[in-house]
Amino acid sequence: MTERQLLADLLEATGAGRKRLRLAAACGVLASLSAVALLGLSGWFLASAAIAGAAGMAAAQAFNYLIPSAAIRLMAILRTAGRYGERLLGHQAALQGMAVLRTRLFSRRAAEDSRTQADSPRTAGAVLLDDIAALEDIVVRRPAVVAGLAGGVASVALVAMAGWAAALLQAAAITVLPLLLRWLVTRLTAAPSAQLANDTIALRAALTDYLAARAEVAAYGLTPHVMEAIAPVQERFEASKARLLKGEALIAAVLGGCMALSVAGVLLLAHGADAPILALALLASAAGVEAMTGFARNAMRKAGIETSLERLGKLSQSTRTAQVFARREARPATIGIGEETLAPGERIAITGVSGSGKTQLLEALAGLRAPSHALTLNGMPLDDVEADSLRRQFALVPQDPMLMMGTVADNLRIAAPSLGEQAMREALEVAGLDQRVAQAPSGLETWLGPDGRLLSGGERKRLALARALLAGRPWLLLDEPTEGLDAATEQAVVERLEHWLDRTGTGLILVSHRQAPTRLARRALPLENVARH
Amino acid sequence: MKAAIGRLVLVLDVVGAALFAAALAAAVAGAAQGGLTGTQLLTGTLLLVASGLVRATTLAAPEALATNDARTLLADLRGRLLPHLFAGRLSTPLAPGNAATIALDHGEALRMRAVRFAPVRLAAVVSPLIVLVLTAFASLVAAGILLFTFVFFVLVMILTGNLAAREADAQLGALTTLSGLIEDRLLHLPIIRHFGAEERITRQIGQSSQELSDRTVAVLRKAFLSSAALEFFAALAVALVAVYCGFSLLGLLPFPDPEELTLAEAFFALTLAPEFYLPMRRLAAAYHEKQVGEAADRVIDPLLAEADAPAPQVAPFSGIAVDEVTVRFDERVIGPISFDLGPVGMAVLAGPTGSGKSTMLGVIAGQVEAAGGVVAVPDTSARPDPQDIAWAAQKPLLLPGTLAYNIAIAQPQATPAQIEAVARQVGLGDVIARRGLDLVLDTQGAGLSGGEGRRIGLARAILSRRPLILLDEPTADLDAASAAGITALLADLAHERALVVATHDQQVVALGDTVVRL
Repeated sequence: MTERQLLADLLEATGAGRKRLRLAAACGVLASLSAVALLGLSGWFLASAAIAGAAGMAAAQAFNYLIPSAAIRLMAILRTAGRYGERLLGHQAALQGMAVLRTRLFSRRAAEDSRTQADSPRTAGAVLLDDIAALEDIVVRRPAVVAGLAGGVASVALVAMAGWAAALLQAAAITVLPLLLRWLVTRLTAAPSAQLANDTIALRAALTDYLAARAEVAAYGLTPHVMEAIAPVQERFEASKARLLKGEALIAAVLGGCMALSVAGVLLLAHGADAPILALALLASAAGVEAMTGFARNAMRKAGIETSLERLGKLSQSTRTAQVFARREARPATIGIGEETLAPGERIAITGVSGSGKTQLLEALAGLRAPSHALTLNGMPLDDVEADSLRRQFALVPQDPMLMMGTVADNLRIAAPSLGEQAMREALEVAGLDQRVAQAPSGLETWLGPDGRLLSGGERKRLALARALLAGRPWLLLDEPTEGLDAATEQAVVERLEHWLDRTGTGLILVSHRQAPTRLARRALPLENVARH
Repeated sequence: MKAAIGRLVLVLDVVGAALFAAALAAAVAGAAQGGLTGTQLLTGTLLLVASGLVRATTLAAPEALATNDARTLLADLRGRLLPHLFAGRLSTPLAPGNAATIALDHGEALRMRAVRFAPVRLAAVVSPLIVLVLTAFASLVAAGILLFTFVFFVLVMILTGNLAAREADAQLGALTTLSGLIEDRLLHLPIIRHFGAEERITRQIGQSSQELSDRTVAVLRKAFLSSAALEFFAALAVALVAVYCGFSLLGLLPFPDPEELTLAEAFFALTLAPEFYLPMRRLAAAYHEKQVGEAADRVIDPLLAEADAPAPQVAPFSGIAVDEVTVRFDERVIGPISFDLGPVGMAVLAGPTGSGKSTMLGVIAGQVEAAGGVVAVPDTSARPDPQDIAWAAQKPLLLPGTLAYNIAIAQPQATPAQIEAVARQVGLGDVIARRGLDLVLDTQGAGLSGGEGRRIGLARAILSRRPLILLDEPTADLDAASAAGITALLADLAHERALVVATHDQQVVALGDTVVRL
């Protein structure tokens, strides 16, 4: 798929923005034409006025000055209004289009299966933020491209009044300019910019690695060693950056110098024309080249974003989007772990030494990863079970609580739609977090920051527990549910949880190295006896 | 210095513009007086070419010069900032990724400000003045017109400019928030899918994106007003100069003409008029660089100030007294914790992952500033000398070099025999037998298991002969046999050194003479 098609497709996806974009382009054209006409007309007016003035009072009186002078003022206003409209409408179209596109791509990502997801969240983040920002930049510039072209063409028409040779030269100048710029970009900045992207990744990786070992670097005074180790990476980065910046400066120079050259050409070819026409041609040529630099700059921008467009194109081709999760009572399933079978409502504890894969087993049941043990759901191997069927059976309290950035309520609400305050408070009470939340200044609406930072480790665990309880699934998967709690709190949580299990008849699969929670389980299942696959 | 020259060079851009205007004025005036002579034509063309060259040079040179200057600036900045990020006393702990962002991305923001914004700044003030003076030579009234539009321009800018700048700052903040939200939700997609909430979260993302877009448009409406004002007054200046000069040349001004204009003078004034506002338009185009640079300043300046803070008083280690110590960790405060430890023995900081154990170790090591409380050598008010403290990390630092070099990194004068003895003591005997002490390691520790890596860190700490060893999760993620081996080693080590161990392993917790729960 060509870049052009890709761009068109992505724009298509944004829907409503297209009309606005056309309007923006129309405004831009108006602004560009006015800018070229303003200068050209002003030049013509001055020269004509001088000639009429020199010919005496009668000629001056006869000269129709009202229309040109009014037109000049009109152009000044049109140029301003057109430019404002172009910029505002263009940005509006781009911003809204990108908001739609971003949501759509997020939706596709959300519809993927956690077990088979290929690229990391970081890569997806780069696509949804950086690539879309790059595309937005292109879209914002689109009206300016059309406008620049219109200004260029108008300048050729005005220059043509001074002869076809000059017009040809002007046409050549505005055609060559974008091509020249493209060529310069490939020659001067494309390679350093790609190199810089790689060098940036390398430098970031080196810095992050060594910063992760900060404790030892500080303790043993190893800063000089580390600085020495990253020096070559940093050197390469600096060299690429310098090459890129110098290339960009050179391109700016070419853009800055070319206007005078094309005007010089027009002067050489049109010098026989009458003074008013010559003045018009010279100033129109200058304004036309200036208008075209906007067009040319776009060519420069575009050179850097092919990879962004490619990535966006790949994501936007997938057709699955996030669907509403219809809540219906799932019939409690029978679970097979190796040779053992768990009937609905059973409560067991998985035992085994550290590293034997207890957490992986819970995560596989929860649909977060491919199973590494022989597991079945209603007799069917877990690999063949759809993610949707898994999540209707299980509610997980993960080892790392996995709390989202947001409020207490935000985190609880992901468990089920339209949860009432009462339900949330009850779940928090079972998890032993109700008092802590009640004491917080904003209660359920307390902002926790990323990863639930406002809470201690034990509190985060309990919030994750309350969240799982609210989901109301037939099976509860608990991974170290009481880690980080003191003995008294732990006792209380276990007691209330037991009541809750009794009351709801929910099944339990527990992993815990602590004693207290194991009383929730009716029996133990040693993982050593379960075959891996 | 070079950058200063660069800024002056950019002012010379006006000279190019003046050459351009003069060439056009001469050509048009010549044509009006009965056609251009060959000499006139040649002079005009050459002048135009010269003006193009001058403009090209004056546009490229400042950026090129500023690039070199910025490189020095960045080298100096990173030279001060990196040692602090690597080993200074931080007032709040920084995640490695965040610290790298500060060193890399925020640093680059300062560079781009130096390259793009700084050079156009001086030109934006000086160049319009030069244009004004040059115009005044041709036509006083035209210069007056420029000045007149400028007064209104300034008034409009005062009204809209500040407003736009303030909102633009708020805008940058909102964008960061949306980025944070999207990154967070992408990271937590597995658990979101697990609870079947992906459609609702998608709607939330859609709403936030939409809100941001609406808010941005509202900001732009105002922000573009100031650029529209620039545009308008630039166009108005051209239009008014054209109309005045035209009427003056016609002799039809409705007021007595204070000057007698020639066509050349009039044309010169007209062609130069757009240049009056050009430097300010360039400045406006570089505003984003300024804004991002200032955001970077707000992050980097406090860190540099921290780096320059005087080092606290230290005393040789003879035990440690930790009294009511608290530390800021993300958005909460951890502690207070208190414990005493003699010259030998083991104190345990117990708690689950993310409870701030490692940060608390950092406070004891003097790498992170405590929010409150005191860490001191008993009977003194001084901190234990950092030279007396060793650190065994969960994932130890590996520098390019051999296994022996990496073990002896804190004690470079150790003999091969000493190195080997320590390596065997911590259970690296297998690795030595298999691949020798001269095994070359890369920074990723390829070819070593997690347990072997951890043992290198431990060997390094023991070999350093420092009397206090801080250990961060010495047994996490190890298989049962390895964990048991390390636990036994710690029990032995606690008889000859002072150990502070951060762990959530119950077996290690059981060894502690004092246990502090976080």
